[in-house]
Amino acid sequence: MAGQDDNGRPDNRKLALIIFLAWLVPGLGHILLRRIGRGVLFAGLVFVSLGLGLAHDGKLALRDPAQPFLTSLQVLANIGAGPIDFIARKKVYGEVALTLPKRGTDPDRTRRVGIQRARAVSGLSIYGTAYLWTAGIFNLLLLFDVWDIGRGRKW
Amino acid sequence: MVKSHFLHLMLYSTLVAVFFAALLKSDRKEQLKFGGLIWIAMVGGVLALAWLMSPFPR
Repeated sequence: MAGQDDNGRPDNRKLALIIFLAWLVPGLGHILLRRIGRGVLFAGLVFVSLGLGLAHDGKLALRDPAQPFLTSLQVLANIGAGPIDFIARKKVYGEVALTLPKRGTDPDRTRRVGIQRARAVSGLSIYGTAYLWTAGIFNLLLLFDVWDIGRGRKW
Repeated sequence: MVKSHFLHLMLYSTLVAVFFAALLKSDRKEQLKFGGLIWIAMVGGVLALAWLMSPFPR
C-alpha cells in the first residue's frame, strides 16, 4: 500500500506527516497509528493541562536576548503544545509574540513585560506556568512516542 | 481557578502520573502500579519535604 513499508508501517514521509499532525493536534498521531484510546487520553491530558495553565494566567514565555538559552527553552516548552499556543499568544499579547525586544525603551518590550507582570499578580500564575510547560512537554514526548510506534520500536 | 496549593499538588501529580503510566506501560495492571508509584512519590515527597521544613517557617 502507498505510504507503507513491507511490514505495514508508515514510510518516512508519511511518518513525518503524522508527527507534524500530532504536533498540530495533540493525540492525533496516536489516533492515526490506530492507538485510539491512548490518543484520546493523551489529547485530554494535554488540553486539560493547557486549559489549567491558561485559566491560572500562566506565563507565555518570550525569548529574552538577556537570557537567550533559558528563555528559548521556555518558549520551546510552550510551543510544544501546538498551534493553540500561538492562538493563546494572540489573545494575551494581541499578536503572536515570541520574543522580547532588547532592553531599552522599545515600546513593544515595555508592553509585553507589562502584560507578563499583570498576569503574574494573581500568585497562582506560577502554577499556570507549570501547567503550560507541562502541556507542551507532554506533547513533545508524544511526538517521540509516535516516532517509536511508527518505526515499530514500540507496541 | 483552583486556589488551594494542596489541590494543585494533587491535580498536577495526577496529570503526570496518568500521562507517564499510559506512555510507558501497556498492561493495565502495570499502568496502575506505575502511575500509583509516581503519584505517591510526588505527593509523598512534597509532604515529606514540607514536614522537614516545618521547623523553619521563614
